[in-house]
Amino acid sequence: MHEAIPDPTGFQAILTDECWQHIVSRHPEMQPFRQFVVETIREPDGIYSGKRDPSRRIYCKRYLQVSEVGDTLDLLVFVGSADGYVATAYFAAYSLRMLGALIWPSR
Amino acid sequence: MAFALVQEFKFDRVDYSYDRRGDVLDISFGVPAPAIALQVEDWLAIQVRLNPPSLQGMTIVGFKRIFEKINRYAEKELPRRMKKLATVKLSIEYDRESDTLVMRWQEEASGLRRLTQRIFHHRVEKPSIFEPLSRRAGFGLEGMPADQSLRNIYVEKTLPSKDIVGIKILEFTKCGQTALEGFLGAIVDTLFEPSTEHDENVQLITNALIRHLDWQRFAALAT
Repeated sequence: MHEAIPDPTGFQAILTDECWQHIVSRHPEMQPFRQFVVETIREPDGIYSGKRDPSRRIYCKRYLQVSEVGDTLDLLVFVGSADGYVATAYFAAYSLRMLGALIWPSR
Repeated sequence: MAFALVQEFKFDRVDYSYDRRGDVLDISFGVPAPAIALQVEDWLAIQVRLNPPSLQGMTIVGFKRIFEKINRYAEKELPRRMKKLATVKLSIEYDRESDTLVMRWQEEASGLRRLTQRIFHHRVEKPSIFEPLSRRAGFGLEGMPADQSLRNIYVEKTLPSKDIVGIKILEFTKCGQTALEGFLGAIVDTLFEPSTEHDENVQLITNALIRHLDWQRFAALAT
């Protein structure tokens, strides 16, 4: 399946079955949460561009309860801005530093 | 009553996957398992296993794009680097009485040296000294103390060679989280902000980490 997901800026991210299989093979806790990934791209709390790699879009959305994973976690979804493909996604409990420059919402 | 908690990590079961299209490097210590990330930088996450809680691995997003600026053969050399990482042993020791956390790492001997050590049960502990990680003092922006997060961190150096073999964090229950954040931040800054002036010990510890991954060109950037 090839899923095109529009974000609030009009950019289209692409999530394929191949991408998803790769994500869950390395982050097995993500298995039940494909829909969370779609939701995070569609309705994020924030979109950032990477500090070291500005071609990377980072979508962030906070979930207060994630069944069998934990409470108050940020789902981070990394997308290549050139090809739109979802590169990886995982839950983060804590970020030591800012996630790069904020693209959306604009200040 | 005093007690020490000691945990050893051997990375001999290093498993990794590099996704060329997404440019994502996932390293796991053992088989991939459910984990939560501690996001160190927007491109670097440490994965902590959920059950039982332990170090699961790390994720580097934009591996080739970021690291080829430093080493153009980063991807090609990946298998060899991972093999080298598998020889590292990390021990973490917490002493409740002194509220001190000590982390030490060493490369396990291989080949003939390992065989010799086994035959003769010969392991010599080298004498070592501790020095503050950061010697910088004073105040930063808006009157905030500069480098306060590094105040309680000391590096352990062997004598006479002064190789860095570990770090020690004092007042760990009070300052541990801030100290670890400051420590990781100082290493990342040393790697990627070559124009900034860095402490010698932060540079040395960064170089020690690089040596384990054998990316000597990192060091050139840090000077």
